[in-house]
Amino acid sequence: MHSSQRGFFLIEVIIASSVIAVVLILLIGSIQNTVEVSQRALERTQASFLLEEGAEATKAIRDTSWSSISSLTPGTTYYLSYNGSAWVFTTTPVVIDRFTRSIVVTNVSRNATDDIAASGTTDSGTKLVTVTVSWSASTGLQTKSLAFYIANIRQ
Amino acid sequence: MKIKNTNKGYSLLELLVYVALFAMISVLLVHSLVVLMRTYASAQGFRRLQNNGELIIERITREVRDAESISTGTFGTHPGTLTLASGGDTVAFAVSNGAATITENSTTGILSTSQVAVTNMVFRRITTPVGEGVKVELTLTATGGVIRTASFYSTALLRTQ
Repeated sequence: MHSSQRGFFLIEVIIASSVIAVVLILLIGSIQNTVEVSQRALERTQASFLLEEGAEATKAIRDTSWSSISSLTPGTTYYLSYNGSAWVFTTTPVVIDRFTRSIVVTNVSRNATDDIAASGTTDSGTKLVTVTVSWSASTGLQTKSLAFYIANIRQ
Repeated sequence: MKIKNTNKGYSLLELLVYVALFAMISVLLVHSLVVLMRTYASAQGFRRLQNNGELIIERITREVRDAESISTGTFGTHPGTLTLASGGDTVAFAVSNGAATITENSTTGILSTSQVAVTNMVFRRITTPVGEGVKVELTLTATGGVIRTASFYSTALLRTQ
């Protein structure tokens, strides 16, 4: 009876130690996850500035010459490149640090009341621009998009 | 009396097992504390880069959009400077001792915190037929503990043109 009680004490200690060990190991794992979360947040901030820049650069190109936008093939992926004095569209992928920023232009249709509609007559003075920033993180490929309409202000 | 007798003392083997378990748990505990401290420093570095980058870029792009004209500046090189005019007021951005500064008329303030150094700040001037714009490139380095860098890019056009 007494010897069996002593045996129990040893087993209890071993069980308690393993529980503590498992909890600590799990804790280390979840703590390391917080670094991932902060890094993702920083990357998302960097990506949102690149999106904003994509929109402003498209406007700068529009302000220079509408034909630079209207001549783009709808549905084709383009990239923004800074040539030293102005923003230009290019078909060669441009990687900014680890981020890739692509631009797709879509035609815009207007209905009988001149509102933007799914079908109707194609408006040559308005385009739908979608800027997408993608980057690879440890959790896989991340993307962030921004879509906006741009109009030929000088027509 | 009899119970006390049988429970008295541990065998050498038992004692060895307890000491080994205690040592194992202690090592694991110290290791997790080290990981906790290292992780905290690392996460803080990322957070500082994000906060500073957000603040500096947001401030510059907002001031550029609100400005009436670009007065002067050092374009294309680091450390870049940018002076904007709006009405009778001027707003200037520069880098001083690794900190991003903003000067409104003659009052200078610091935009970045002390644990983050501005290692690259370049302005590029964009001219369009209807106005102007500024492209800004910013690289920050978090110095406390784990050294990390992050770059931020943005472009803003003057709205009052």
